[in-house]
Amino acid sequence: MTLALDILEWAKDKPDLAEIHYENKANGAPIEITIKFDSSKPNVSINENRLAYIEAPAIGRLALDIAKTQPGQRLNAGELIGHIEGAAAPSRITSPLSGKVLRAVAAHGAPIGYGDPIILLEIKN
Amino acid sequence: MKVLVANRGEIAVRAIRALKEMGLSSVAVYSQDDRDFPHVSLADEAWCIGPAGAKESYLNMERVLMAAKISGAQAIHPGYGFLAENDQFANACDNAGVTFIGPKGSVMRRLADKFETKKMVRRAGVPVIPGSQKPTPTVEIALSEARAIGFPVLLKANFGGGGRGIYLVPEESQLSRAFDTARAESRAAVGKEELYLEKFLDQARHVEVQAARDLQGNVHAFVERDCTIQRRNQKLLEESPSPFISSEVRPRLLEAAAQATTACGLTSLVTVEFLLLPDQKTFYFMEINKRIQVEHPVTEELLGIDLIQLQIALALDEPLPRITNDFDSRHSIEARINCEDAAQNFMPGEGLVTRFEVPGGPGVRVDTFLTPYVQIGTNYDSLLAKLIVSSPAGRQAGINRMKRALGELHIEGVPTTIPFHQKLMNDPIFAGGREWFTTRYLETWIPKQQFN
Repeated sequence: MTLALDILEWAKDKPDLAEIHYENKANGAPIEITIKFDSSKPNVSINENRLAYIEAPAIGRLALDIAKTQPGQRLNAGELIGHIEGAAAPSRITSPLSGKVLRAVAAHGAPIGYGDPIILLEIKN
Repeated sequence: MKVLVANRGEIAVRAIRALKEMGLSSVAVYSQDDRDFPHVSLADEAWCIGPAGAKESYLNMERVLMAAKISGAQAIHPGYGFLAENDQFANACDNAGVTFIGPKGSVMRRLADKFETKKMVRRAGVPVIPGSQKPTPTVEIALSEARAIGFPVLLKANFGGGGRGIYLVPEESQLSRAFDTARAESRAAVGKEELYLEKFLDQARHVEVQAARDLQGNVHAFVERDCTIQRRNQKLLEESPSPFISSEVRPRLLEAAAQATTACGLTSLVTVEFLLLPDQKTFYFMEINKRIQVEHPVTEELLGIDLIQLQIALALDEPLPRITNDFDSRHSIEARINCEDAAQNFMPGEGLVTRFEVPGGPGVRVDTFLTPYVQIGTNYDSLLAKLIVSSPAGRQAGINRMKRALGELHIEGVPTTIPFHQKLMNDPIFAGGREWFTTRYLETWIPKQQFN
């Protein structure tokens, strides 16, 4: 478990990475982890799903709290991280769960559609 | 110039196609459950505006307008249904500086009052269904009015719509009870009690006329469509010209439609609906639809015109071009293919479309959003595709072409009404085109059929 997270931690400042494949067949307890990155739309799959997206609650222009959404920042469930400019309710963007920001996948000030991913979050227990 | 299409399904595809041919930029909007639908990828850009379901997306004015704002769209095509006849939305577009492709909001609002509409149309010399000229406040007044009109009568709620709030009163003895029931139900449904009477024309056919009017007031009425094949007030098949409108009657009918359009102050594309009596020359104005209609391709194929491009051009203040109503011996028919099981009382279905093949050849057109492996749910209306055929050789040739095309149309994975249309094409009364039948024809016809 911690191995996968260590790998992600290692990878987070390497934005050009397309895929990581880790294998360790030693000690009679083989481990195999594959992580794929897509710069336009992160589609990450590991053998334990510890990742989630914070998604846009409405269509409009994204207003992000830059400080709170830096990679490494920790968020609590329900914490406000921004809002959708101009939209009627719901326009508040809150973190659905407690976790750590891995990366922002949408830019502050950019137009964004309903359900579009904004932040990739790593979920803690 | 960028135009947002505020709709989904086949009409969104239709509008985007028109925009492409006009060299205009297209913007699609979609609900989350529509994200893999063809109109989304066909448009130049697309925005998700809400979760599944029309209420949170296509019907949500604020979200549609936000999509127009962030995409920079300068006009909105509302399609049909959804916000197409919503005067509030038309006004909101105005306020946002976006051109609404349809009539003015203030005009649509005035026409929501049916008395007002009928008054304007009657004043223009267009025959209107005999009935009350203002709301009927008491059962005593209703009785004297009904006697003047002649039973059977229809008792209608002024603010009902879509076939609701209509009560048939076959004779005098039943009027009092119907009046009380209608009043109570109207109060419960819309908080208002306004009722009125109308003569019940139970031998009538439904004939409608497409009209176009530009912002300078020039108006054109197109050759009529006959939409008598209906089930529960829903059209299943439309054709043009009507087999029961002669070349002597047609000019009067089209002129009436043009005058009704002008009298109501409507612009853009509208459809004027009439009831035609068995004498095949008496017709009455029924109502006016202020949007493009599902069956518009019937007129397009008959006359060789593009109504959607015309609608967009008129909205951009272009003048009405010269349009001919010559159709020689052409005939055009449209079959609506719905996701319904004719063998199970037309129960709506759902599922994954596993096979989809379209017919081809001369005079065959399919308007659809279908593509193999598209998922059909029950969140929206059940229209899958429109199969439109046309022939230069008359109605029988058109019917033969429809039969041929239906045989080549394959949709699997979901129930469809293809078997219904195949049976209808072989019905001697429908195919004969001479024997009169009414909008209630299918009521007795359908139970006699075996659909597999």
